[in-house]
Amino acid sequence: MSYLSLSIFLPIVLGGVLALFGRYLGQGGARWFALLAAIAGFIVTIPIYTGFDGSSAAMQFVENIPWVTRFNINYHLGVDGISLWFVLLTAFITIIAILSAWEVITDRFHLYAAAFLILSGIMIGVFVALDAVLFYIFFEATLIPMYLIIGIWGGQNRIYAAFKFFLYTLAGSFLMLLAILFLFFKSGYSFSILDWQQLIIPMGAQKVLFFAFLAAFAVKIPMWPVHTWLPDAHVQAPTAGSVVLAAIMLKLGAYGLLRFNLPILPDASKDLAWLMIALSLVAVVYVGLVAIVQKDMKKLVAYSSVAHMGFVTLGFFVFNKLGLSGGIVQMIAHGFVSAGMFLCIGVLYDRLHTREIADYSGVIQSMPKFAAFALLFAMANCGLPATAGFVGEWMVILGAVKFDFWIGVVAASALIWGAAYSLWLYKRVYLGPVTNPKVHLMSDINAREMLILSLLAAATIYMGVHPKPFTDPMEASVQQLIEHVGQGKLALIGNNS
Amino acid sequence: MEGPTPISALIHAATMVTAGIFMVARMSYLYELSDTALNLIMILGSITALFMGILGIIQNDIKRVVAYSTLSQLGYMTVALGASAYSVAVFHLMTHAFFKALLFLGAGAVIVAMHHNQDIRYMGGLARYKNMRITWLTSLVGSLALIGAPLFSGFYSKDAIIEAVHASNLPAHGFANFAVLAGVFITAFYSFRMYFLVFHGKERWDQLPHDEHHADDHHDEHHDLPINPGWSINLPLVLLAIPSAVIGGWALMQFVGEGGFLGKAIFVDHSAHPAMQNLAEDIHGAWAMALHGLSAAPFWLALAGVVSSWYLYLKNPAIPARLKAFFEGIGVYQLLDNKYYLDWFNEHVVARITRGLGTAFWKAGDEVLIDGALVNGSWKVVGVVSALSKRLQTGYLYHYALVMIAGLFGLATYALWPYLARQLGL
Repeated sequence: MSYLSLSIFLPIVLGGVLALFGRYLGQGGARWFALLAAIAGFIVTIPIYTGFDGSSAAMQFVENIPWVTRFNINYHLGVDGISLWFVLLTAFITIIAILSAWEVITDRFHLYAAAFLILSGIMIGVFVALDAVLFYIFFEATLIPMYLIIGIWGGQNRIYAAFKFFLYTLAGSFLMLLAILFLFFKSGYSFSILDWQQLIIPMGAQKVLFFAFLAAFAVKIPMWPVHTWLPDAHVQAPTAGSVVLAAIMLKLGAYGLLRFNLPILPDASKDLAWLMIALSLVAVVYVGLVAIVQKDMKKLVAYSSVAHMGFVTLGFFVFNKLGLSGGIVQMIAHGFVSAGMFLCIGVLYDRLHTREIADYSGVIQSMPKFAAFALLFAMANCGLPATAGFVGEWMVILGAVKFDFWIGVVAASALIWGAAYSLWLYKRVYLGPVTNPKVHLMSDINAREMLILSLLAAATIYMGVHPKPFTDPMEASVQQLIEHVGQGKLALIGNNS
Repeated sequence: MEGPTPISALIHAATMVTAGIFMVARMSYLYELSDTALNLIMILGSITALFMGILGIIQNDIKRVVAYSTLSQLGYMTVALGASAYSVAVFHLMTHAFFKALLFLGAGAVIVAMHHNQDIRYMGGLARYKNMRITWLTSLVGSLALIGAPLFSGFYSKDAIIEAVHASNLPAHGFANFAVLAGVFITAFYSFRMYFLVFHGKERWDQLPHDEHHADDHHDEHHDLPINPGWSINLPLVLLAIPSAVIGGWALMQFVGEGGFLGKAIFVDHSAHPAMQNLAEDIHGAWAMALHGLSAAPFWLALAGVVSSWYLYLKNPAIPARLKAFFEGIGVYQLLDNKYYLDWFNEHVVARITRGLGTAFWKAGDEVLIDGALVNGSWKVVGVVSALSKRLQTGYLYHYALVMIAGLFGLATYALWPYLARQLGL
């Protein structure tokens, strides 16, 4: 069994075992089993990075096994420079998620951890699937564990949030299914994503397909105006749920744009770039402004995630290498930073059981170590140089300026909104006098919380100072994608006739 | 300003606040291409130099006086940049670093001596105390350097700026010329106001109101004599006082002469902006410049500033109170006290509009339009449609029979209508 299959099915199988037999292990046993399973899941992804040939844009670690021969559906996996880091990121964040639930979740911990392990395998499946049916199955399957995580372990209004999350994303996916079926017949009965990338499609059909795929991915990213499920889902989700949601699940949609919309429908992508750029800029400015006035910390960070994902889609649709790789880097960086932000909120919530900003003030007095971590993540969230948040934003702004100066200017305003909501949040929660007497009683982070935050802080700083290991492997794949999109498909029609 | 005094000294002297000056000087290649940009820079610098200096006059917090003087001096540097005298701006940045760090640390020494009182209205007469002598003399050196007294380091850099503005050929140089000259008087006035109020005149620290009393002081302590700052504070003052006094004359030719210290790092288009070249031709050496300075307007303006502050704050202290009442009467004092309402504008206009927009997008856009109308609205439409269609299937046979009969009747009417119409003669 190759490493890709292992990284998908090891966490799923171990998660399944934990779900079925976890109650015999007891709380402690379930914790350690889950942690070791997550670590094992991460370890099997490491050879994918070390064995990856960064100079090649081709799919690597390919596995292609016939599955449903009658419909030409294959179990076809592969990883390229675009998906490589997301495989590792998913496995890494799963460890963080398990650790963050350690003593916080006391109700059916084994099921909770199992949901994250299974979710981890499914999400890795999305990133490495090269068969459209396989992709669709994994893409939809991610909904189930997350639905359960929010619906069972969530907050007060969890049922509404879980349903909203589920229906919102499912509604988008139906159009994608139709598009997949259309392409299946159009391509002469193939579900191979790679085949579709070479398929010549007229402009009219490309545009319809573009919107069909966009419906699925825009909800997942989420792009304005289909973003309103995210704040609700985050507010109701337990901490680890928010972490995985922000760090990985949002990336599934953006990754879908890179796998389907850009390479399969390059001409429609270019033709509709104005729309995507406009929606991205609305996300950056409108959602950035909305984030400033939030009163609930999780909502604030949720809105800031939408704004950051606006940056990602902006980078994709300016069609240059800087913007595109900047968008991907931003996705990875946001994985670390938003995870850190949500964990910080989790740490506060575990102690005071409120997420209202107004309930906190002067937390730095009682939790100085924690406040240092929170400052780092707040700074990374607003894109301070030498943190992960800076690298992607910087590349996207450069790419946007190259494309059109004024688009770059509007995009760069994100730095102002980002600083406004991140620093104002930090000021109101951590600094100032203690107004709520309970804040005095808050104990500083324990060793476990220290470990989680340190891991993410190390990743955030390392990526900010030395982003080369992140950008190098994607180089060739991004280059190829840019060339492929630049060439387009309609030109080929012209040559043929 | 609100930070610990050594941090203020560091920030104000050499690091953070001067970064902008450094950046423009570093990018002289770019700025030389645009007269518009240079004019704008010169005007912004003039406004800063003049109006921030005016704010220094009414401040009573010793650190605030020094802080506003930094803003004013940054204005001078900016004016120099606008006049294409980049090297002179860097020169002033350098001399200013020494005397401003000195003034801040001197202010820190005074604050320590005064049991953490920062209000200069409740100081005075410190020069009479033996243990304050080093603080007193070094602060005097710093103040003289700041106001540009000949031979002190600030004199050379500031006079070079004034000369450069004078020689500039940009349209903005008229206003800039006025601003930098008026600024000399104002600088001298607020600097020596502070100096006289702190080191000379009556000792007023026993008048400090109790509520302004620092929390960690004991009650009887503020009547005590000034606390000896000690060598850990005095030594840096001495070390900074030496360059504050002499470095200007020593380094002058490196910054204004041809091929000086900055060499090719700075580019000036001499044909378009000849100010720097004229300056280099006029200045021949430190002594000659100091001698020439005695007969030039800035020296007399500075002297006038010192003399008027001496008269107002030492000789006849009743006048400032009356002046204050007069300016309060016409609203000028309030304008200055609120820093021209710039903070107010940011807080009440910029921040309020931003938050208002955010709230409007959130409440009207996200909650009402997207979530209310589209998302929850579509659920509601489904609910309404299903509620209506539910009524069609009641499960009661007589409902279905009624509908069937009504339908039959309707269909029969429709089919027979042509015949019926003919029969009825319609």
